[in-house]
Amino acid sequence: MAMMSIQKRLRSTVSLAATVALCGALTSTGAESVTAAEVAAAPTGNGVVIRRLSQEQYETIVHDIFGPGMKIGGRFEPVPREEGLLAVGAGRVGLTTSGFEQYDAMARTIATQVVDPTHRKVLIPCKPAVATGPDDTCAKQFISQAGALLYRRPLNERELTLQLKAANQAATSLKDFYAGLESSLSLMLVSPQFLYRQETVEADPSKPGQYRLDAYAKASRLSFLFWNTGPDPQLLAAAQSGALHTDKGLASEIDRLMASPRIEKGVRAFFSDMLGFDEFDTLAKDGTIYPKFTTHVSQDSQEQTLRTITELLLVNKGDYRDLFTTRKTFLTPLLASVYGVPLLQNKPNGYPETWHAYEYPEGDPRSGILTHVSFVSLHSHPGRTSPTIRGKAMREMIMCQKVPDPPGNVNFTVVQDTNNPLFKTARERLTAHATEAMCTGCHKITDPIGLALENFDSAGGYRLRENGAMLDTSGTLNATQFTGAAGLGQAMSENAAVTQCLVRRLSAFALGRATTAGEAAWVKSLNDGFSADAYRVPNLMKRIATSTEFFRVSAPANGH
Amino acid sequence: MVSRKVSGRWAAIMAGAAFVAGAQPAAAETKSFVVSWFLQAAHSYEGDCPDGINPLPEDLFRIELRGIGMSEKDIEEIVGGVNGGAATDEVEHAIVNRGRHNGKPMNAYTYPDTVPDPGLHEVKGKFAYGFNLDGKTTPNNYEDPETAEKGVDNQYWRALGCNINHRGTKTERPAEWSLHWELNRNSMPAWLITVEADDFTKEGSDVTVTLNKALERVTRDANGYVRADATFRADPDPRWQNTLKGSIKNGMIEVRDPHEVHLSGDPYMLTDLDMTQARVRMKLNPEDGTIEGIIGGYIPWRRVLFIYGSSGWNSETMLGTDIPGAYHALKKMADAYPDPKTGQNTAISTAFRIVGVPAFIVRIKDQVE
Repeated sequence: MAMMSIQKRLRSTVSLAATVALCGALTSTGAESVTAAEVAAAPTGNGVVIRRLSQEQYETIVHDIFGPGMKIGGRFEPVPREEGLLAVGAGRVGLTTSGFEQYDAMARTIATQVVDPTHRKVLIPCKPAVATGPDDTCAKQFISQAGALLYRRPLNERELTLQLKAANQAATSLKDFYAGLESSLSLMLVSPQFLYRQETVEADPSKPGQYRLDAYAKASRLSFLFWNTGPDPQLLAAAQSGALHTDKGLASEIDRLMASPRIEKGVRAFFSDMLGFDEFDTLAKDGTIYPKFTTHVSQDSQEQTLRTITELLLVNKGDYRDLFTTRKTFLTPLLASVYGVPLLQNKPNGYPETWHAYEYPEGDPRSGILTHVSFVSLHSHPGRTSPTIRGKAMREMIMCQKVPDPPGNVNFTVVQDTNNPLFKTARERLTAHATEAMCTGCHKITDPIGLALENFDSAGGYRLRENGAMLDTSGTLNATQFTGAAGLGQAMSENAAVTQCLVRRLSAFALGRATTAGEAAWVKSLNDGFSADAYRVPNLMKRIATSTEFFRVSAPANGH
Repeated sequence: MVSRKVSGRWAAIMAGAAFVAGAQPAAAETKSFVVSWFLQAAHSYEGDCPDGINPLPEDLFRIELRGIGMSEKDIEEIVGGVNGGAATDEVEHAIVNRGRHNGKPMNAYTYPDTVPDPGLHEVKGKFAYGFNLDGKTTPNNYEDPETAEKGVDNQYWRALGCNINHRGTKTERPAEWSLHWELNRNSMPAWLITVEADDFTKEGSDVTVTLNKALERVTRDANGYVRADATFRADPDPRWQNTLKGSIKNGMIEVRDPHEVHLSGDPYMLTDLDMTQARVRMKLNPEDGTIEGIIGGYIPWRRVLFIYGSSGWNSETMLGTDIPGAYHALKKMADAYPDPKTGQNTAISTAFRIVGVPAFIVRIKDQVE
């Protein structure tokens, strides 16, 4: 009974603390600091964005701090896509009551594991004087260490006092030191300081009247960009020492982040986001038409594309544009059955290996990531392809060109009827459909590129015909004429909008917002630099991270 | 060497192909498949069982229990409790041990000859799938409903084709075999078919049919069927190499000369397929790329019995094959390879429907260890 009462009270405290922190002013760390909310409200752009951690970021941070064996469970609320990225949408989301309940449940699950008899030996850096009551000295040691990694900065005095008080009260009431730590850790895990990437600004001592991100906010921006997780102790130390405010110190840390294999996490997070892989969660295919498309195929297809990307961009330090033409990829036996190519589970020595490097022969229509199952299946209907949806996806995701939504009163009957003997192929159906004046404009943008992928059915399988009629996969991209998926990939790789879009998306991913008109010169310099670097994405990441604009913040509007 | 259905586009060099050696002489056309269905070739029709369809298990239990001298009261008490297999331990024990030897209970599945023959009905119709294996035409032979071949030997069908769970057609799979195959193919090695011909469309063209056991199992598609276009390694073990020579006849792939076929199955139910004097006819389906046909020959009848006996109680109560009844029927119908001492035939003529979906097959005969 007593335990229930305590837990109930603690839960109320947690909820209240979170609510107050979210709705009110965000925490400042020093007398000269200005809240992020005030800066974000500045009308001159270059504001900071308060981003909610993504599910992957949340999980990675917890596993980084407490070990990969931590079970998390729970459910994460959806995030809207803005500027083509969930990473930007994450700066626009609040938290519902049920969403908070999920965070609360996850926090308790994690905290319980951290202090259990098995994990405490490793994760708690000290032993209490007595296990049946509070020990502020030991509690402070744990809370300080774990708190700094969770909040991505050292806890300030007020936060530390609050946490110690919570730990002390719970340990006293429950006569259990570890229950006290569990309560404190639960509190930190539901605090906005953990769940949201808050950024604090401070007066810039070298430029009177101007402001800058404080060193810990800088550390977070860097870490999330390169590793998609919070700063590690070394990066926090560089922030604490002030090294991150020096060109040399900043460059040193960027080089370290880029040299780490964890950069793959950052690259994967960006491209998963840019390519809309979250939509696989709701993707469905008609099993009677596409029996090869299973949940495992769906999962493997995403991994195929991400492996192709990281191999080309990171391992081979290749040209981003080659992603649209490369015949090199990775396959699993399941994917191979969809692609209709032979692939065994085992390596030559008999060692079981799911993923195998694979290169399509020269002249094969399977070239470039647009021919991957992950692209053609994601941008199709459950039972048929959609050149329009595929074309729209290419325009919007790859070229950053907005395609208007169809008007509400469009008649789709002709397009949807795949059994009409008069219109056997999607091209014929779309041609008939596009005779309606209101449809013509948009279809001119989408269909000529989408039709080039018609050799790939809704599940990614290869086909030459539809309803017995030979498929015509010729198309145009702006003024460039081409044939088939390989031609499309080549045209995409040569189109300036493709590389410019990558710059736009990656900078938005890094900043958590779209770049502003005032940053046009910076964007141009990034584009020029990307070109000069032969379109190497890690180099572009470095250019972003080392630029003044990446950390620049506007002066607060209220005169602070 | 990697083989599959012919397609110039997929003349791909697989990533792992470098280790695959043992290339065979290039055939003009090679098509490869993994077996997706292997079932008793059922051809049931009205009037083929003039003595009636065999009774359901409970009724056969009654017949057999009477045969061992049990009172009607005890019989009803036991059989009434069978309840489709959801029986008490006592009832199950009584049914399982309904054999008698010197008055003592015996396991009816291990010693089916200790249960009196309930007298299963025979298939006496004119038609059944298969081949004329012995070159003779006798009253015990059938006529194949598709090829009109006379003198078809298929005593396995005669023995159990009047069981309700064995009845079926080309398009309606028989329940007993469907279930066994469904259960087994997740755990048994995949069976592979390779057909090679100079020209599949040319009448009289020579054909080689190769049947192999794979080192891998099948995988399933979204509907639970065998996934097409998966890749398998043919087991290089010499015991499982079956090369059958035939020709194109009436548009079919036909193997008329008798061959032996040995394939390793599942140790629980299907065990090994050891077929002698095997013949094959198969047809390619250009619509979906599958292959389908009939393979017939002699197999040891005790191995057929094991399919049912190994799952004893479940096989009887859930699937409906009375095991002592099947024992007596198969033993009576066995028609080849008599034991030199007893004169009892050891093998029974059979015909199975075999269906394959396209697959890639890698030959690893000469793979470097």
